Order: sequence, then structure tokens, then C-alpha cells
Amino acid sequence: MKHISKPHPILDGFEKVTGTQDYLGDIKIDGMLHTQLVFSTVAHGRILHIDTEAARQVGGVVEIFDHSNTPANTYNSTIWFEDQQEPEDERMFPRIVRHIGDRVAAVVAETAQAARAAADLITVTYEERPAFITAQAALADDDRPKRQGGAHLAEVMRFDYGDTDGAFAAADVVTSSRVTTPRTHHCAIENHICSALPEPDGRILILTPCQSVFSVQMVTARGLGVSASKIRVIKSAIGGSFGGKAEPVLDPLCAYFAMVLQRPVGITFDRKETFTATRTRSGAIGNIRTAVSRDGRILARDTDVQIDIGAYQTGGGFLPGSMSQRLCRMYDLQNQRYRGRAVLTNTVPSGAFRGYGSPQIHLISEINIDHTAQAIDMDPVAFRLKNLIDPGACDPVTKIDVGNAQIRACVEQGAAQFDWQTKRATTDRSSRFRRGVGMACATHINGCFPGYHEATTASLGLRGDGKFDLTCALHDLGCGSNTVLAQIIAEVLDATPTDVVFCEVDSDVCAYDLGTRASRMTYIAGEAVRRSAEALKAHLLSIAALVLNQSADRLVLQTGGIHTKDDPDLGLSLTELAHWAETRDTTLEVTETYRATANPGSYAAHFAEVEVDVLTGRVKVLSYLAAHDLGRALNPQLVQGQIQGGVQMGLGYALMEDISPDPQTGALRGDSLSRYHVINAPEMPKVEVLLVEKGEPTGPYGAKAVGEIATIPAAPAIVNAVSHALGRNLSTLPLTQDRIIAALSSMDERQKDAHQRSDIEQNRQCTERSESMHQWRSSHTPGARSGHFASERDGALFS
Amino acid sequence: MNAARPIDLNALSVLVRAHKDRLCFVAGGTDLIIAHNGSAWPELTVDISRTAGLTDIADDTEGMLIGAAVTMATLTNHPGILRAAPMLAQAATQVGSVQIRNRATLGGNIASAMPAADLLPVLQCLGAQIDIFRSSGQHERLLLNQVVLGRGQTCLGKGDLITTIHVPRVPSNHASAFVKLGPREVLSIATLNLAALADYDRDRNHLNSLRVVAGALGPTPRHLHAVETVAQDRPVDQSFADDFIATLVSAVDSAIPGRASHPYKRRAIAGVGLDLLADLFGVEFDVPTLMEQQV
Repeated sequence: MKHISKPHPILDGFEKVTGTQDYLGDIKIDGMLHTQLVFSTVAHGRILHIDTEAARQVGGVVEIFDHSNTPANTYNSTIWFEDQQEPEDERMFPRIVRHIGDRVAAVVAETAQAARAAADLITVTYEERPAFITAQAALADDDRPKRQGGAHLAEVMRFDYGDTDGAFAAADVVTSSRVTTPRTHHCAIENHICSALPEPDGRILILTPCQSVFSVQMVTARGLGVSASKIRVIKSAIGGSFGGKAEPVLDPLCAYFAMVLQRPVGITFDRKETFTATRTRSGAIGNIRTAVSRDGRILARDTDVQIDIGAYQTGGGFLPGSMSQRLCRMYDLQNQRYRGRAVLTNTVPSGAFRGYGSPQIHLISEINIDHTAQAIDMDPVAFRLKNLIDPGACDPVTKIDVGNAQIRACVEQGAAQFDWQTKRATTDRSSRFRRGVGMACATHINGCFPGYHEATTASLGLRGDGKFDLTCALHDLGCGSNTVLAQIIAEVLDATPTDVVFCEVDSDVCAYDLGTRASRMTYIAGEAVRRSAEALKAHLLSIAALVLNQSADRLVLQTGGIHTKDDPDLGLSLTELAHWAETRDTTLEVTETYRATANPGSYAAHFAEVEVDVLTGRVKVLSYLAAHDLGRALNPQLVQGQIQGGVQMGLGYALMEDISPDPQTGALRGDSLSRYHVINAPEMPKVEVLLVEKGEPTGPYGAKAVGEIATIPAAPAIVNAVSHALGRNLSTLPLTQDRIIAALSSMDERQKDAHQRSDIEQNRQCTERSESMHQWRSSHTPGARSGHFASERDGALFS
Repeated sequence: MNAARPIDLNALSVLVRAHKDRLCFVAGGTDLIIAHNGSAWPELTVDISRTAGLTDIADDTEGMLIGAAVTMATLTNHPGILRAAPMLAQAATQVGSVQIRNRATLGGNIASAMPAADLLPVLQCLGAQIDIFRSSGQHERLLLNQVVLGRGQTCLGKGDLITTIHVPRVPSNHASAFVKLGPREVLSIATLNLAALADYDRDRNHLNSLRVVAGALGPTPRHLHAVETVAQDRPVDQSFADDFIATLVSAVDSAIPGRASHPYKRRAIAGVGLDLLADLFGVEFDVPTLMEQQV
């Protein structure tokens, strides 16, 4: 292999670090108008009056938009294909605002300053309505007899397979945990931004940093009430997304303003607006019970999750389903029940965010796994190894094969390299600084199969200069996915990655694609471009065979040319071949569509050693190891970067990141980078990376995804380490310093023991236990279980 | 936005006379630019970051004269500051990030009057005096607690300017230290900070006196007078550490009773206090029994 499994710097890295990359905010568009939005200052209320009179007097103001002069079409900003049916509860400017930061009006003016000055003069009168800031409050309201308005419960997903109740009744020990995960924000360097331009043919062109030009096109078309063909979308260079730019927030507005005013219009959000008026990670409260035998077999599990998806449905309805899958692809469970409820609250909407529900559900399950190991006095690593699935296991609910799942190797090799046993044994609980170690496992998907036409179409052609034109809707979000795809093409065509020329992602030019989501870039798009490269290679050889009057199977493609196997001098360069074809009505281009046939799991185990100051609550991460089963690292350099970045995000999730809506007012307490803390360089430990590369048969060159899973096990590993250090079971995140101190102060050691005992229901029916163990062993055949699966949705895998 | 950059105090006073109530001063702009993001600026913005007389550090017999527009970055490594008032450099090092320290100024730290400001407890502890040039043309010299009156509140009227900060020299037989606690090690706003000045005979391990000022424990820096009582004429040992920490805890109890942060800060101050003692006296004391019981 010349390029696969080799480090290669990000293709546009030089432009980025030297500041020469033009982002949308850097591009000057002639005659562009500027927009300032006016946001709701109440968490829930009906708009009675919007006074725009003073604002209209400000020089340079062109138009002011609100609910009275914009389309009332409802839409759901999560959709990504034509005719996709999801609950539609958003509109450009609602009459009833549902969260602080909801859109009330927009001033469009000649300058940004004029727009801001005018927006400041707009006064809004509301008839306030009761606001439900937490999922619990919202669900309680649903249960109230005389409630008004739509239900807060947006989606329910359940499964129940095996005999969960029977297994609980027969268990030696039952543990229960309640885990609360925070609402977090993506904090991409580039804030949200969009520009829209009227085109001469009456269409609207949208320039936007996005994850799918087609999603932007569909959502905008619905919002405007026009056909999608009236909207053209080009992806601009993107300054990070992490899911935050997956749902078009500004685009329908921007396109509408441009359409009405027939001038280019731009909307640029600042940091606070991006915090309060775009998307966040949903919060979850998980109540989880696990039945376990004394010798460490998990007999059954019952998980109930309330998911706070914020004020609008968006993609929040997918979360109960996406969380449910993660519970079925990690441990070998004969009996399991689950209920996930997505709940609408009067807070900023949730949306896609690295892992899409996985970080939340893994926090819930992996914290409980540690509590359970502790309850039967077993080492957390040994306990996991006793219950983890093996390669080829079948998800009992979706019946999907998890592929070459190497989670055991991650745990075994990771624990050895981390020196888990020594570190775990040498914990000192007497001094001010307490050390502890913890670990957690994670699994994530590879693409959307079997749901939502999981396919990518790539066209690859040879150009006159010997380079390769790739036409495909590839949305590199800055992670380097294009670099990896170029390596794949270079490997097949014996070229260099810089020989691949990526087309601009343009809804007019590229074949339809789902976009960058669901960890599908390397695994799905990678296989699509690999196949297109193979097809182009075959095509080039067949044309060269004509030119050279040789049989194609006697020819080889090598470093920019094709020659016969026996005689290297008998051949022609790719440039010559291209020129030959240009004059003979021959196209040197192929188009391949790859439709996914599988959805294997990516796996990871993270190990952390922490030191906790029992006086100040400060947590220092002393050492860290991330073991990843990614099939094969196509670019180890980028894989390292993905994992380190994922750990940085996961550490913040565990320890400090929280937009923290005020439970009374709904205002975000973390709405700026001075109030919302992310892990910065001095807080970062050295992250040791261990790659398990056993190959995934269905992936390109054996590769699976790593981008999303990189962050998933980090937070539970840290929480488990802090709990180990303190001898407490902490499970309300983030573990801020004051929360750690409060947890230490609220229980002394004796109370803690009593608390634990209450969580463990003893069961003395030993005979039943041994019988159930026997049954477990005899029925241990993957895929041979009875499953009951109930949901308002189909059984597709949600990203 | 109209801006002017006076070359010296004379040029500045001309501008002040002409625009009196309708101007604002900007030095580093680390707070002001953000505060004005998008909103209107006054008639004239006067950039004092390069005004002669405001950017210098000078020695005099009693201590250091620091221009109001001297940056945090300058304070962190100025030889005179490191000799005369090392605690000031120590605190300046912990302000913001490299980029912020390159812009933010000592005068700005005072004028912003934020409860969590890192340099205010230090200035108070050192007994710094502040020269103010009133828009009326008067010069005044005030103590820090006469300048900083509350959260974001100062004695400065429109057109009044802090010009010089007088920092008395720390005597050579004194030890000083500044310790900060925040959500992150660097680039975070203090949850608590302590500045201390100890008259300490290292050879005899005898503490003559100790002055401690706390930040982020109320709207303005809080001089913890009770510390003086427990820290007078005694050896620095575990028993002293126990008394010292107990005093800090009571100080929190009386400063912020009922505040949401009260339970946390009364415990965290013990950690900050132990770090302060370690810095001052080079001894790592055990966690006092008082705090042990609370764990």
C-alpha cells in the first residue's frame, strides 16, 4: 500500500493555518444587505405586538420581517430528502415563541451597524405563557388533565426482549442508577452564517457552511413554499460543525429575504446568538436498572430515558431510536427493556451533535456498569469482559450484524497498556488529592443502513492534465474526510492524494447524497469513491488497450501512465490518454453508486486516571488512553487528531460544559465562551492512542468510522474515574467543582454505604439463579432470541 | 466611531476639556470592546494605550509607580515589579490568556471593578494608592477601596482617568503570594482568589503578622481582618494552619451567607488557603481536621 495506512496531512491544512482559506464571512458579495435578528426574551409567549416604527426610521434599513410578512409554512429543519415526513413545528418567525432566543423579527439593512441599531429599537409585547424548562416539568404538564397546547411528548421508542421481569426477579443483585447529562454546545470556531443571492433565472443561490446542500435545499423549499428546484445551494468552506450546522437554521430566512428584496442578503450570527438560537446537544435523564449474578453475568437491564430536545422537534425525534441501538450492540444481554422519550421543553432546540445520542446513552449505561461492578465487588474491566459481545454478534432488536466487533480487544489491550490493574489498586483515599482510575466502552454506527437509502454516488474522471476530477457531494467539515477519500483514490489509481480535484459541493452539480452525518464518510463515501476509482481504472485500461492495441489484462496502471506488463516502454501517459480521448468522442469518466449492505459497529474503550482535590473539587486528568476498533486506520495521523479532539470534547462534557438553562427563566447561564467552559490546552492530558486494526470486511480497505465514537467513551470514563477516586457514585453531569464538593459534603462514608445497600436488592433464591445461568449458557446463540420491538418509527438505524 | 490617541497627558487633558461627558477611555479594550459590540460608541473614544506617562513603570523611594496603561504582560516580567512587588507579577500571570495579557491593563482592571478581578486583592493587600486625574483638572490620590466601590462601580465620573498606581515596595523580610481558583487552570474567571503579605522571620519560623485580602468574595476585595488576630506572633506550624483555615472559612460564612456559592466557597477556600500557605512559607500543611470532618 502506498497511501493507505500512511499519515498524510489534511489537504487544505496549509490554507487554514496560514489564514488564506476564504470562509463565507471573508467573501465580499457586491451589494449584499445585512441582517440583524431580534430574539425572544421570554421562554414561552404569544407575540401581541411588534413595534418597528422607530427601527424603520434608522438610515439604511431596507425591510423588517416578522411573522406578519413572512410565510407561515411549517417545516422541520432536520429533513434531508424530498418528501421526508417529520413533524413540522418550525416556521421562519413564529407567532408563539417557544424559547429565549426564538426568532421574532429581522432587520435587513445596507450595513450591519444599521441593522443592529434598528434591531435595538424594536420593542415586542408578549402575552407570556407557562414555560417548561425541564423534561420532567414538561411531562408532568402532559399528565395534567386541563392542559393547553400540544403535547410535550414528541416521540416514544420502546423495546422489550427476553423475559426482563423474570430475570430481575431471579437476580442475585439489582443495581439502579440515575444519570443526568447536560445540554452542551458545539463551539465550532466559525459561528453560524449564511448568504443568499437572487440568480438571473429567478432562483435563489444559497452559500452556506453546511453538512448537506440537499438538506438546506429541501428545508428552505418547504419554508418558502417553493419547489426545491428553485433553490440552489453551494457549500462554503466550513469552520467546524460537529453537527451544529447539520440543520439549516438561517438558510430559509436568508433565502426568503433575498427572494423578496431581490438583492443578496447575508446573516451572520455572533457567539451568543449561536449559543442561544441554533442547536445544542439534548439533555438526558436516564434511570437504569441492571440485574446481575454474583459471578458477574448481566441477566437483564431496564433503561428509561427522558430526552430534553428543546423547543422544536428538529431531529430530536430520532434520539430515542438512536439511543436504543447503542444498548443492543455492546453487551450480550438475553433480557432487556427500554423506553426512550423525547420531550419538548421551552429551551433552545437540540439537534445533531457528534454521536447523536450516543454520548448520553453511554454515560447512562457505562456509569451504571461501574455501579454494578462495584455492587458485586468486581473489577470494572473484568466485569465488562465477562459480558461484552463477540465479533459477528447480532443486535437482538434490529437483527443487524455488528460486524467484526473488536471491543474485547480494545478493553484487553487497552487495560494492559494503561496498566489498569496496578493503577486501580494503588488508589490513595487519605490525602487532599485523591487519585482514581476509570474506564468506559462505547459503540457507534457506520452510516444509516438499513434506513434512508444509505448510498453515495461518485463520478470520477481523468482530466487533460493527468489529475482526477471527483464530482460527489462530499461535505468535509474540517475533519479531513476529503484527504482520506483522496488517499483511497490515489491508492487505486497509483496517484498521489493531491492529484484528486474535488468539485465544489453544489446541489446543481452533484448527485444526491445524505451529507456528512452518521459517521458515514469513510465507511460509505470511502467505499463509493474506492469503487469509482476501481471502475475508472478498468475503464482507462480498456481505452488504453485500444490505443496500444493490447489486451487490457496485459496492461498496468502505474504512476501516471499505462504500460504493458512485459514491456514498460510500451505504454502511454495518462495525459496522452486523456488527449487521445478528447479528440475521439470518448469520455474518461465513470459514475458509481454504492449502496450500503451493512452497518457494523465501531468500538472503543477509554481509560483515565484522575486526581481530585477534595477541598476545591478540581479534577486533573493525569493520564489517558483511548483504544479504538476502527477496522483499519486509513490515515493514522488524522485518526490521532480525531481521537484527541474527541477526548477534549468528552472531558469537557464530563467536567464543565453546560449551557445550563435557568430552571425558572429558561435563560442560558452558559451562553458565551467566558461562561461556557471547554477544556483548553493546559487541562488536556497526553492522550495515548491504541488502534485495534483487525479489518471490517465491508469497509473500504477494512476501515470503519472513528470521528464520532472518539468522543463517546471519554465522559463516562472520566466520571467513573472521579467516582473511583472519591469512593462516591457521581452521576449528575457535568462534574463541576461545586458539584463534586456538594456530593462529598452530602454523604459521609457510612451514609454512602447505606445508600448503596438500598440500591441493591438482594435476592436469596439461589436455585432459580443457577437455573437461569444454565439457561443463559444453553441459549447463547446470537440472533436466536425472541425480540419485541415497538416504536412509532420503522427499525432503521438513526444516526 | 470617532477615536483619538493623545500622545501625552497634556494632549489628553485638551480632549477631556473639549468632550468631557461625551468620551470614553480605552486602553486594552478587553472588556470595553466586548461591552460595545454592536452598540453605539460615545462621541469620542480616547485610546490611552500609547499615551506617554501612562505606559511606564518607574521606581521611587517607596515603591513602584505604574502607569495605568501598563499591560499585564509587562507586569509579569518587569524586573522592578518582580523585585518590589512579586505578587503583582504573580497575579498578572494568571489573568486571561497570552493574548488578553498583551492587551489588558492594570488601570483597566481597576476601572472595570469586577468582583473576580485578579489584581484588585493584590493592590489592596499591598496598600496601593491610585492617582486620578479628574475631568475638572484636579489630581487626587486615593486608596483602592476608595476607588472601587461595588460591582462595576468606581468613584470615576465621566472623563475621569486613572493615571498612576503607587505600589509600596514589599520589604525584604516579607513574603507575599497570590493564589487563584477558577473552573480551569488558565483562562478562567476566578471563583476565589487570595492575596497575602506576611512579615515572616524564616530563620526562626516566626510569623510576625499576616495580611490577607480575598477576591470574588463579595463585590469588592475583602480584607480579612480576622486573619491578623490568629496570625500574629506565632510559629508557622500545623496548629497555625488549622486556625488560619478556620478563619478563612468563617470569613466566607460572614461574607456570603445564603448565596448559592456559599457551601462551595467555604470549603474551596480551605484549598486555596493551603496553597497560599505553601506558596508563602514553602510548607505543605495537612488538611485541617475541621475540613476532614466535612468530607
